[in-house]
Amino acid sequence: MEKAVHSSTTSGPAVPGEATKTGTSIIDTAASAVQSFAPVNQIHQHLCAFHFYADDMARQVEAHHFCSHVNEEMRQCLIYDGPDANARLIGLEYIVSEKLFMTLPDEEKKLWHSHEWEVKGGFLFMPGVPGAIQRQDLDKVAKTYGKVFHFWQVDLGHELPIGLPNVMMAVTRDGQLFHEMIQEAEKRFGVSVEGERDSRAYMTGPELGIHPLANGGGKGMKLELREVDIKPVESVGSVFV
Amino acid sequence: MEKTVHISTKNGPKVPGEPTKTGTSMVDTAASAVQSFAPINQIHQHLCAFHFYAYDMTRQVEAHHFCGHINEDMRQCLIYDGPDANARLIGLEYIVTEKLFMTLPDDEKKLWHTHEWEVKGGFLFMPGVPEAIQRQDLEKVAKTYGKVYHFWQVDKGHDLPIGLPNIMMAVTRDGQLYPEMIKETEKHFGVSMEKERESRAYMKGPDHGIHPLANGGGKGLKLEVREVDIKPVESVPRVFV
Repeated sequence: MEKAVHSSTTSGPAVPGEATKTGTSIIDTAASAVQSFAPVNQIHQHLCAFHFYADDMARQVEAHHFCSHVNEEMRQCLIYDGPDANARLIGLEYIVSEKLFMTLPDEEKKLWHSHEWEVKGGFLFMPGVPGAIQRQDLDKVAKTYGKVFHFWQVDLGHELPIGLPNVMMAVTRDGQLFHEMIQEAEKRFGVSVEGERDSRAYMTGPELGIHPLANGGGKGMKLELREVDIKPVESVGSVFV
Repeated sequence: MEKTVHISTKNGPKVPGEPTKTGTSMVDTAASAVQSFAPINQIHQHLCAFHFYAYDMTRQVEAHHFCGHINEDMRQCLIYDGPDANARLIGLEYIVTEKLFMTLPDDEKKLWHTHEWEVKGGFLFMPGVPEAIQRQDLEKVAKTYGKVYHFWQVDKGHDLPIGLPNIMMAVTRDGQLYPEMIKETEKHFGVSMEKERESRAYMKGPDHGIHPLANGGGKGLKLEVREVDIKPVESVPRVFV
């Protein structure tokens, strides 16, 4: 299968459809003036990183995470395929501390990946933020685990989010990410992955080491769809619990 | 099996972990001051609706959508379990016009659901927005199709997002949603769905009628995970395409 790389919204196909009408924008603006967007207003961090498909490392995607803290040990992130206004929402990621990760059932752990190499390798960065400030947070991120799903196969040139969700994974050693893709991102964001790697050498990963069940437990993973009988709503007694 | 309902963040279990430290917030604030959040800034609409699991209609969840227009024909929405700052990110939804829906492969159509009844029934509303303004947009929404996944089974009291994504569906006729759940929401947001239903009687669904393959094609849908061999990255010749 061909190598597929998706670097950012600008390189992808346009989403079919008309451009947003002025009338639509006006209604949205009027309505949004009176609405509350509290959950979204919690988002205060933009991280750029690279994911590959859990069943195919040759398919790699630049992933722009927009994250908020649920609490000190957990973050929830939206993933877009670029940093601009026209970016497509392609996935999401949950990030937890090692402590929370260890409470997950074993079956669950394989769906999560470690962040140590992504961070220490310099592949994960916060666009626009000075290195020294980034590192104050990234040294925590290096110890965390993440669970990522993508829903829009932009690396295949899909114009719409077709198909089942894809479990995604992140790098666990050098030589996994395509050089050209990295170089392109470095140029666009004015960062040096190697420079950051040197600065981050002091960071450490999870205290207990990377859990053997994480990162797919070494195996690839793919989601499949099964048709089943729907449990109907009439089967439940109408008692408010 | 017990009926499970999840109405809003307040009713759910707390996410384990320490509250966000002041130091963390400060680093985040400093960093966020220099970062761009362009994709997030496109979000300008808050919609409240109800989803049930595609294989189990007895499990119903109040879903707060925060949506942005990619273009006139498509929206992408983040789904939280409540409207407040501490809401959990539980899913996402893509919304497309009938025109785009008809371009989807038949196999794909079943993953999408119609919005006609949700809107005309009054179950979908925009908190805080005067009804007359809401209707200007909702009459468009009534003709659209949506694809929703949830990742956090808050209705089961999970304190972390465990398990595979769940395809979700929306109501297609009366009598599917639990009256007590509806009443609680009406009280909470100061709306009356029955009144809205009357005001929305003029609205129409998709021009070609509800596609028979949509809404699971009438079947329940469940995702499963399969372990496979990972296609390694070394299998691809290093040529920049």
